Amino acid sequence: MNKLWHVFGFELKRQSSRRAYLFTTFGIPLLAVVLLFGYQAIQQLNAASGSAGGEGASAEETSPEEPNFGVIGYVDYSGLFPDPGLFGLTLVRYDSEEEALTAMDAGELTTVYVIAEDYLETGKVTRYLETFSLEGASADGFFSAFLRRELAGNADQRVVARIQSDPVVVEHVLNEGSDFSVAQSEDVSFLLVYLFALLLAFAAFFSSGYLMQSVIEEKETRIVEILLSSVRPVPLLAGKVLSMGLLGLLQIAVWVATAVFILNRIGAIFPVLAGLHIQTEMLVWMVPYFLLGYLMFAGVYAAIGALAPSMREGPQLAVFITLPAMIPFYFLNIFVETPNGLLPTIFSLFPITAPLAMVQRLAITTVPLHELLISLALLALTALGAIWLAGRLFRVNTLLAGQMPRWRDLLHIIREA
Amino acid sequence: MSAGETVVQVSQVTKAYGTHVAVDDLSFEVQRGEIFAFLGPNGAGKTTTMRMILDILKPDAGSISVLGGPFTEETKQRIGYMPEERGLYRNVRLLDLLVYMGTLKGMRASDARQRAMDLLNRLELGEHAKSKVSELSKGMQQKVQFIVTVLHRPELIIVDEPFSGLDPVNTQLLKNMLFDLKDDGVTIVMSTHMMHQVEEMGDRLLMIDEGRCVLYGPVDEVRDRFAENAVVVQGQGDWAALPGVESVEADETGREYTLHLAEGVTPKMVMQALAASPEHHVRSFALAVPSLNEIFIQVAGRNGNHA
Repeated sequence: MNKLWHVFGFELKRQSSRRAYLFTTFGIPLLAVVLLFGYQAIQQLNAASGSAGGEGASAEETSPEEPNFGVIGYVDYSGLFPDPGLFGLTLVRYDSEEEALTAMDAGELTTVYVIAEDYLETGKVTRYLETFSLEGASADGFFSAFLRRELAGNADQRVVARIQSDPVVVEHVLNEGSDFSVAQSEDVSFLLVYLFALLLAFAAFFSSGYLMQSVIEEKETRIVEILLSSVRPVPLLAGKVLSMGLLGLLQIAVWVATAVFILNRIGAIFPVLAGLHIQTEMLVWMVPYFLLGYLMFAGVYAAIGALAPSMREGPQLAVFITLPAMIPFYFLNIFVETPNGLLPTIFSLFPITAPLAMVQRLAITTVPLHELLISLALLALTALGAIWLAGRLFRVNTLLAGQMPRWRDLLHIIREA
Repeated sequence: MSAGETVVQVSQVTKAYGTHVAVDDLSFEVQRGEIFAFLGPNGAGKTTTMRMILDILKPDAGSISVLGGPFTEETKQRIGYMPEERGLYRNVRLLDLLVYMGTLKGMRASDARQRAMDLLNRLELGEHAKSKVSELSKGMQQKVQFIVTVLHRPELIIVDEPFSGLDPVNTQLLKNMLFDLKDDGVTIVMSTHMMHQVEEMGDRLLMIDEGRCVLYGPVDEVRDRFAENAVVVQGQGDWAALPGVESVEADETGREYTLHLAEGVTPKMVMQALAASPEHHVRSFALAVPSLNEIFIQVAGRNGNHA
């Protein structure tokens, strides 16, 4: 038992100091946070130095007066904008184009807008500039804000802003039976499903991939024979499985924490994501799904590692388990449309696809408890089977063999071990 | 335990892989404090036998007793093993690797660190303690392999082809370390193809072929057993004229002659005849004892194998 912990400690230190592990675990999340804040900072800088027009000005009760445009003249043929109102310090109304253009010629105005008679139907506005200038061009936002405000009458500016943007749809779907699930708009759901499925898949495959790599490396360098003269195969395997599992758990914890952190702030930057809601329940369930999923993949990968003679064959053989496990990912749209439908339910119960499929469902919906329990029980049984199989194959004969055993000998090896 | 005590006892051991019998009813013992040479052509079953002594493989039949009893986890900690095909973790710092290997042999990490540094300094690798294994030359890695084998102060060392891949300087260095260990009472089981190393270092030998014992005993005794009734002389004179000499064979240089003696004639009788003869001038006189290499080729050839 003592030797198991020596293996555990050594592998933990060895694998955690790998550059690839450090980068994927801490570097990528850090980069994501830096990018987020960087983007936000750039946006704020732009807002501070840019125009006061646009949605920003219309959405808040700020003063509409902005001196850098100079005085703007407008002619209203629609009859909808008789008075500049609050915008009076900057806007002056003229009865005809001639009058306004004469004033501009005299240097009294920087820009003249002419509102067409059929403005309500066409939204047509003509702009006259004395000479082309960026200030003049950016006055458009300011003038638009005036038009919207006047059209909205005394309506709350938040109402005006809301009129201009699409609603964030929160759908309530009443299932058959008593379970009640909350689904979000499809785009946001897609993002959540995609993100958390990726996190789980990467963490589980990275960890078990490292495990396989570690086993094959020991075979390739032949150090395994020296190790086997000190420690028995099973504690050697167990020490590795536990250390990689812990590192994988740390990795997914950092990723999920970063994802939650980012998603909680992303609404302020991308309004379309403002209605995004992370299911706390999913975060809790992700832990057993990661652990059991990892144990299942680790068992299979360790068995492959024990059989594969070199680093070239290992990943090739691993595809036989990686590809089926990723199947739920190829059906993302079905998961988003009907998370509790037949196909997602089958995938989330079938052990090989369960970790990914269940997280994809949990990301956007509430899964009935009995389904979760059945799925976890089946997954646990399969994980146990995979670890048992790895234990049978992780034996001296296979570890010291210089070549892959023939398929027909595999059953014999498993039986005889 | 005292000198002369049996450290390894292999009794009627058999091991087969499928239909291939790798070791067939093999028995021998290794005495405390000796260098025991283990010889045999490729595929003779040497490595399988060593793995069984180390409890890495289990025999199909027979029994093995190591360090005075059946193999336990504690026994493992008293043995050092250097396999023929050996390697190290490449991206691990040297000292970390040695401490890990030491702890797997039951050492405390602090003891392992101290002992590893002592051995690294002794083998002129102290300055590389923080280097990664991949940064070391092949010769340095060979020395690290040896440190891994002896780090935990084992009572029994099993080394498979210890000198393969080593340059003459490192071969001598390793040889001296093995002699030092022998002086300290450590028992060494050494498998090698280098017969002159066995002649130089070995106390006793075991040669196996197709898993069976073909030669076993003290090195000198085995050579004597294969000695012809002949003497090798250097000097001048008519060697064929000596009484009891049946035939004379000159070597390629023409300076050394092998005198084949008639049945019943002993080397001592020839020496006396030479001493009494004023027509013969002798510079050297020796028994015609074959080299182990010749014995090896003779025995392996008889069994239809090539070493």
